[in-house]
Amino acid sequence: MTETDVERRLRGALSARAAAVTVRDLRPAPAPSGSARRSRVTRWWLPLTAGLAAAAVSIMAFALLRPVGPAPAPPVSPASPVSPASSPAISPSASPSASPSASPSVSPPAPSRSPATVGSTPASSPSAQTVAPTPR
Amino acid sequence: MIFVLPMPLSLLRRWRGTAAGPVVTEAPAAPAIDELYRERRLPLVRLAVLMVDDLPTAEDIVQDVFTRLYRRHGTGLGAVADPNAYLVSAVMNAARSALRRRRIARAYLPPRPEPAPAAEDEALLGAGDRDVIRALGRLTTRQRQVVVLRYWSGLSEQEIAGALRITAGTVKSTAHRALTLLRAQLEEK
Repeated sequence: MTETDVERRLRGALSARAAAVTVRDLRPAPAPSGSARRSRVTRWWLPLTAGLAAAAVSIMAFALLRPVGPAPAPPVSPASPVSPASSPAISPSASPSASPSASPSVSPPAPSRSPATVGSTPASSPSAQTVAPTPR
Repeated sequence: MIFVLPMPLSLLRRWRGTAAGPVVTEAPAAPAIDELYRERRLPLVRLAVLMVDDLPTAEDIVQDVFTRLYRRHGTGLGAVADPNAYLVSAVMNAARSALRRRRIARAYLPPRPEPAPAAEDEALLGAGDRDVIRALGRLTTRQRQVVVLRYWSGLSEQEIAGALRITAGTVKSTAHRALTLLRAQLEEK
């Protein structure tokens, strides 16, 4: 079988197979410009609508899920003293030589004080006198 | 303060149409793509049938190709240098994708018995033609593309190379290999 014979058979078979498809076999289909026009015209608002919907959902979620109660209290400062003996308010009176008009900012360093020292001179502290309730 | 919003072109065209009022309009010329569709639909469906051997799939392929062409270039087709070559190339690519999908589906589905040929095909195709078509189905997709474009569409090697985006040398070697396989299969009969 020569190559020309194969080509001839090939051409004949392809032509016969293609001729088996006629216009009547095709399903009725509209031209693409008619079928696709509507979808192209009505599609411009889709991104806009999607954006608005997303924004509305975000706003609703924020409004619904927002915490309604009071704001949480600020954290306690870690340097707050616990015992009155080590309070900075007493510190100006820790030394007997300090004057009552001395500013509390000039307090001596806390580690140098001892509770025994403070307790030994309670009357020398002006702040202790001010705080103590006076009977009437 | 004036805000200028981006108005969609479709609304702009509609607004212009209504603002212009009733004017004497000529009968609009049929878009180029519609004429092309009327002229080329049947040959392209035949081309796709020769590739996928299935009329409904071939019709889907051609319809998808025309729809994509319209969405990309509109009705004028002024940007397309050669619409016919574009369509042939698009149909070939779509047929190749359809054959690939079919091959993947067959790999995952249980084998089905070979469907009996339609009575019309039996009447129109002789036994020799059916053998050739069956042997054509055993070729690779690329070989089938080259054979169909060469022996049915009558394209030259250069045109086939342009449509399939391969070199002319590849077209020549692919066609030679396809003919060798076809000859071997037809001699076995």
